[in-house]
Amino acid sequence: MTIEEQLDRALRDSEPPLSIRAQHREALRQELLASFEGRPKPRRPFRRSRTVYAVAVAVALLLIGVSCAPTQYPVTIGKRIVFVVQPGDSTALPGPRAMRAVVEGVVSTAPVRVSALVERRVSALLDREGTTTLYVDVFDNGIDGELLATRLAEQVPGLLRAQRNVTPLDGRARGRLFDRFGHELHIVPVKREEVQRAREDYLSLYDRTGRAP
Amino acid sequence: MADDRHDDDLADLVLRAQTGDRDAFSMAYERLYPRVWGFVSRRRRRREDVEDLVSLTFHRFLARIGSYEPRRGTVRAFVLSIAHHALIDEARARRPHVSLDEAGPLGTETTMADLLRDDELRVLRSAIARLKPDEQEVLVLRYGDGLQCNEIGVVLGLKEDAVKKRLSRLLHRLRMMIDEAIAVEAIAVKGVP
Repeated sequence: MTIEEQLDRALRDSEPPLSIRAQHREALRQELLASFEGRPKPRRPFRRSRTVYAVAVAVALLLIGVSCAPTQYPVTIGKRIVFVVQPGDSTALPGPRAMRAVVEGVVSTAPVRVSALVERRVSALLDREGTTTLYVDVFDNGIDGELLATRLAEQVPGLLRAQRNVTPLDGRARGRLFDRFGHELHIVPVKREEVQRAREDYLSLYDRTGRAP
Repeated sequence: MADDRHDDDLADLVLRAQTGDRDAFSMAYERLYPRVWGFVSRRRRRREDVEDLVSLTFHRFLARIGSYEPRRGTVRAFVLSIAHHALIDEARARRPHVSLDEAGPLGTETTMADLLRDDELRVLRSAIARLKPDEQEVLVLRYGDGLQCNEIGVVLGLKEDAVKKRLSRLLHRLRMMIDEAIAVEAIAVKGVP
């Protein structure tokens, strides 16, 4: 006889005969059933079905898939300084090429971060009534447009009385829908290389047409 | 295999009882009563004590029936775990000023010796009596109550692997103790000084 068999034999049988405990068994059954009846009706525990989990997973996968979809979204790539010069003052204006040299001179001497200036474009548009609109576009990584406009106005006599306006220049960054939401919600900054690519696209269009897009 | 089917049926009855099915509860009680009675009577000698503890176990079972989940273990382990704690509580209540360590093993004062009546098992009885109370408890749960290692784990709050290791070590020790005792008896019979 193995030790397991000995233990089984030695420890297994110690229960009294059924007749001895029958009375207790029945009395306890009645007690328990009375308690069972009297207890508050149990609420069926809420269990999520597999379908709910499957739908949740499908929705999550769909959202992940959608967020990876390629898209384009606007990013600031520089600043546009617009001078509207009255007819009487436009004669004092230098031409676009000379103006470009002035801009470069200003940004190299003005307290703006020259290293922040990536590229610059200058164009002038003369309308029929003799009003000249001068566009100075600077493609930068965060220079102060207002300060630059003030410096330009000081350097060029014709611009001193001109109406001026500084607006951001928007290019189109390429990325995923996730990046777009992150950028629009100010959660994820746009990658520097994406801004540079948007800037290059913009400049390429600029150079093809010869004027601001 | 038959035990597995039995446990599945029992789990089904308890799940039905959870939703308010009175008959299912009654059937589950009918199936569990002998188990619980056997479990308690192996650890307590007085019939009145056994009856009280069986009643207490089933009342607690009814109170906690809503918390039973089949994935956590069998109904048998769930109910015997309640019985195990009822025995501990009763031991504490009986000896309020003695710590549990001092209180001694569950049932050692009562039925362990009675279980080993067979004269052929005298050597085994002697060996078991030399084991620690918690070691005796594991043996009674396995061979007396017929629980599987995972069920013993539920009752004692141990992992199944820990129970297996403990049982294996215990059987090894028991074999060595029995071999040693038989050798000593043989020497005594031959009259070797």
